[in-house]
Amino acid sequence: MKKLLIPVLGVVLGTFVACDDSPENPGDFNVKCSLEITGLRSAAGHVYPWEVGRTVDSQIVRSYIKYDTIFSETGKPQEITKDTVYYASNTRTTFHFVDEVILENGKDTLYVDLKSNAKWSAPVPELGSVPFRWFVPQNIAGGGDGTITVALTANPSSTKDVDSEQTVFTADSAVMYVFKFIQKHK
Amino acid sequence: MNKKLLFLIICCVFSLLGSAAHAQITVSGTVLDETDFGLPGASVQIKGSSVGMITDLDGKFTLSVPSSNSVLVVSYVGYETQEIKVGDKREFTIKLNNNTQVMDEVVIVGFGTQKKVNATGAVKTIDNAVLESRPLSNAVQGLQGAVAGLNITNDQGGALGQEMNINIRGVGSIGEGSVSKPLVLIDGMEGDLSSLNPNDIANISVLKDAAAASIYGSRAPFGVILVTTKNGERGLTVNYTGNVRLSQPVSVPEMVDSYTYALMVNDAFVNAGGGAQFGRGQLDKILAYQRGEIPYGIEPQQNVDDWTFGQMSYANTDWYDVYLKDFTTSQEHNVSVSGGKEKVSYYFSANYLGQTGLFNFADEKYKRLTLNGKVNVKFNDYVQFNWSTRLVTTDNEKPSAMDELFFHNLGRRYPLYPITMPNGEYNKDSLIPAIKDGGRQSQNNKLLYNQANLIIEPIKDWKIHAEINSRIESPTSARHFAKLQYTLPSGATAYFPVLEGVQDKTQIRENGTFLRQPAAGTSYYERSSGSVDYFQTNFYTDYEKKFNEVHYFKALLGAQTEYYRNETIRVGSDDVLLDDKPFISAVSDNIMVSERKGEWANLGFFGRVNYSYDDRYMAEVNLRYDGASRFPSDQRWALFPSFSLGWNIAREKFFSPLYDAGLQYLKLRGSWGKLGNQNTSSFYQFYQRMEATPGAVILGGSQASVLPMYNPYSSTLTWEKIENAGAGIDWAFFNNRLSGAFDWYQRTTKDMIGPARALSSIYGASAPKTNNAELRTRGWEVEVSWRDRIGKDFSYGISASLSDYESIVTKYYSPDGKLEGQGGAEAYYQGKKLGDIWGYQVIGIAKSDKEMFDHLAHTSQTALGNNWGGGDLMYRDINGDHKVDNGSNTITDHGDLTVIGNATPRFAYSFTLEAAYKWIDFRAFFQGIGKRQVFFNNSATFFGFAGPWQRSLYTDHLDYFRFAGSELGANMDDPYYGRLRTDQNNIKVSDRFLQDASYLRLKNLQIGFSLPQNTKLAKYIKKARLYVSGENLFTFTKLRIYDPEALGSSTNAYGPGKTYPMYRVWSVGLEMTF
Repeated sequence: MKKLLIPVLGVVLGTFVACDDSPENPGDFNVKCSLEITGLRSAAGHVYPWEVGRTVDSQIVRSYIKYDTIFSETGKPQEITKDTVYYASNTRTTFHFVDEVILENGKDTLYVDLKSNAKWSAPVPELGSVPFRWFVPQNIAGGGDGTITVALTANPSSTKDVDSEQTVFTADSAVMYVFKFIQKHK
Repeated sequence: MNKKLLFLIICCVFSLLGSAAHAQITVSGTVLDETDFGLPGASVQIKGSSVGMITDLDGKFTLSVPSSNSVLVVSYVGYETQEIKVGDKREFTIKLNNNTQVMDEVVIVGFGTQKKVNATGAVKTIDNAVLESRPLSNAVQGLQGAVAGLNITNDQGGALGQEMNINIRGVGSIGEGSVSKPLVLIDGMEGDLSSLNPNDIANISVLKDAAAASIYGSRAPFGVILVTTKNGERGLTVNYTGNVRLSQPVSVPEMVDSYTYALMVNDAFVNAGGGAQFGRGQLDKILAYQRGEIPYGIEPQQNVDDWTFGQMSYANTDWYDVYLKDFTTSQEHNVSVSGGKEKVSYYFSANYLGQTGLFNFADEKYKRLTLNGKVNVKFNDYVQFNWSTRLVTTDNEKPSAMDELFFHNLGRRYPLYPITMPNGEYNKDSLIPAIKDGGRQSQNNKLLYNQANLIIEPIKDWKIHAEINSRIESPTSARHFAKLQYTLPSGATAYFPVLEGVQDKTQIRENGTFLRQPAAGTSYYERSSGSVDYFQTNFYTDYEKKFNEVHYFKALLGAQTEYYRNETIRVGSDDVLLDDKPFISAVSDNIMVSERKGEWANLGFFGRVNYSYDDRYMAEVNLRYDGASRFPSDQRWALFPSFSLGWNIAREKFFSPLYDAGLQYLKLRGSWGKLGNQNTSSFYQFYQRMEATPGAVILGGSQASVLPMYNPYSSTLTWEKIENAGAGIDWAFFNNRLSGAFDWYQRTTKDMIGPARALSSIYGASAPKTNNAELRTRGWEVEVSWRDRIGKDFSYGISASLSDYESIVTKYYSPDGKLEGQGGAEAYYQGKKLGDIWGYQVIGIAKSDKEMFDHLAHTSQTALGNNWGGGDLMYRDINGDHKVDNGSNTITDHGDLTVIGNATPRFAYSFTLEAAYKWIDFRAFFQGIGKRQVFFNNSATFFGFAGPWQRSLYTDHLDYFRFAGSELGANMDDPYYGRLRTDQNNIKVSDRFLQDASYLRLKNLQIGFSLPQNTKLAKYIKKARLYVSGENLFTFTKLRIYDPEALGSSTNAYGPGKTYPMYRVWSVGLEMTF
């Protein structure tokens, strides 16, 4: 009797299981990342005009390190290999190259205002040919609307301008701005 | 006269007389019910004889009676018995009336019974119908929601042998070391309701106020539950009840898959300012495993002879699916034999309950066997003797690794862990080896109850009772930790601990007991054996008398003694010789021994006087004089009085028109009483104790034990005193078809033990606790019931109950008014409402860095955390000081904290719908809590993250803030959680995440099919019923993730929400009575 009753009860229970709801991911995969620079200003009161000179569409290439274990005939691990694998990702990116922005000479703080619906990064630029770091972003990442604060050190040269290339891009690299800032000599 | 003629006449006379003596009169007739339908199965007997018969299907009978003077006694269950003299009639039509008169209802009270109409205390008596045919683990579970004011709650889920919390009318005491449970008496002796066979219960009475409970004195300050078990009845009855059950876990969280898990972990670490835990390579490996491209979710490490455990694994496992069964089976069987004649009656029963748990690999078992025997002997009209013996054995067995830590760790299992290793072994990170092979723990108990009751009735209505009760318990337990090994890639083996995260722990507690959790590679076995002896005597006498038909008087006088003794010896040792059959050996290492014992005794004298005038005005006075060994000799004795009054308005002349209209019973009552509480958790709190502990002294090459100076104690430590006051109204209208009751009450617990004023630090010790705190509870209860019958075949009933209470600390010495005790423990202060939750208010989730920085520009949140940005919570600055903090976390300076909710279960309600039509019956019982808030503080199972390594990621947690571009999809519009973080910025106690834990649950649903009386089988079987019954079938609640009865405990070291799952049960059962 027990063997007959258990499957019957199991069917009834199964009905109840089907009625239990499980939550789903509310994430919206159709929302594209957006990033827009809305202004360049400084603590000293300067408002710098800027313009996108050219826009280029491209595709992101990604890479990862792959480890593999080679087993012997007896099943014991023999060797572990390491390879760097490059592959074209599905992400397309839009580069906005901004025309040079000429900054006034002097110590200042530059604010780059932006609008976005994504996480973004603004990594510290490479030194390049400039012997000292005069353009230092204080916050190199953020999310959504925000402002990149950059500490500017005065260019001590009386003959040469200094420059720095700053990129700002969304976390998925779908949108990227490339700025070239030039601080005039004294 | 001719002698011959005289002789002939005499012979004729005697002949006629003889004929008359043996002449039988045949009478016949029909017995009808109140609807004029024939009543089958009614008994028609000749009064004073055993001659009689049962009416047929049409209610007809035919009977031979000796003479016209014979009296027919016609009776049927639920109807008033009628006696009819035969006289000259030979054909009868007898209409029975429904015996719904509340005037005859009886309630069980302390040391006796009372007619319900005369009862003036708050008493509710229910029969066993509330427990019948339900797949219950124990009687306590079945009482949940059955009586207003009887609060039975469960926050610990559905573990086997689970005990539930019981209180009557709320928490009675917060005194440190006090217990505020009701006293449970089974046939007059204290017992364990959870070990009682529910099938043996005849009725249960709940004594809620002091007027009802004071007769039991200091053992019953917070109410009494009186359980009366079944007695034998005339005739022989054999009954079998059995059921098979399927239990299924409910509210089981769904873990996210391994890839989603890795992305969520990355988000949490990066959002808190750290680095991503899973690089692209690892993520792709996880995806490859999910696609079936890689066979194992784990591999050997580079340069180290070990596997890629932890975050280096890349499998995809839902651990709740692995561990939880879809369903598990249980069964219960009960056989009882009941019978007797005029002088002797008996009742014997045997019950077996066997349950299995919901977890795979664990082999959990719970068994309960109960044997019960009762014999009632009536020697003559004056002397009666009752004897009962009950034996209960319980066995509860499960893995040693299945403790609170297991449920904490289960929620934290990474889905990345594979179940098995490439070599086929179970992965040690799965916890399966620990559960399956890590050793077993068992708890067994044998309880033997013996009760003897002698009743002498020297003259009518005067009874003398002598009762001797004893309970003997033999609890034993064992716990074993085995050695566990796993195989390394090289083939070598290594040990790992049974309890994950616990390396090696030995703790000697203040009370002398020990806790041992061995390191990896060390086995351990411990065994404890205890005994409990409880002995009680009751001697009391009562006399009742009715004068002139209107004056009713009853007096009770008695004495009670109680003696209780317990003893537990525990032994444990490391490195057991045989893991398969562990035992303690003199050659084992690290032998630890402890012994605990204690005893207490009580002596009480009690008296009660009841008076009633014309069932209209009632009064009752109780007095109890108690002495308890637990208190200092000059504090031992106390007098506890109570009185109550009642007025049955329906019996007044001015009420006659309403009475005639059907309002037959309306009673007002009020009561006041005072009781003492001697139920301290430690038997002798006032004794100075010097606990031997390992000292920082080396003597003779080994660490010496030291006896530190005892702490000061209060010489005036005495009883807590509970004052109860209440008023109520009972009613029963329309022949008791509509009945109900309403009660309002206030209970004040005075002289609770609390902290005393601090002593000067020069003294060098803390001030002792003293009786200086007070708690007040106010509440109300209402119950309504309607039952009726339509026609001969259909009857139905609807009943409902609702109750509520609030408790406030009215006196407590807390100079600093701390809102929180040490380690997050609850703190008390004057004016505190029990259950209050203090927290912050949340404005909302910042949609961008800019929104957050604009908020921070005028409201600093540095006290709550750092690295604020878009996706984080913006907290409200309530006190306008431009920062959000908790002030000094006291009642006088609570910063931006406010009372955001209350965790006390409020508005407990239930309602029952039942109906019966011919041979089909139906019952639905709903139970719920109308209002309750909870906050899952620091809970990874609720928030997903409560720390870098405290993570339990479920699909529920996916509703967190994410910017566009997230691999899990953007979620910016209206997310529930802020962005995931490894710190606690977004999981502070706040109104945003305060949970509504109110619920409505279909507690029991049953449909039964009874054998009709007109079948052939009915000749041999008195009653047969097949039923389908379900428990916890549907739950309606807004609570996220958890079941409202599996919240876990806020005092659990591992946090709330980590407990055994709740379950629903379906059962099929059979009842047969021969």
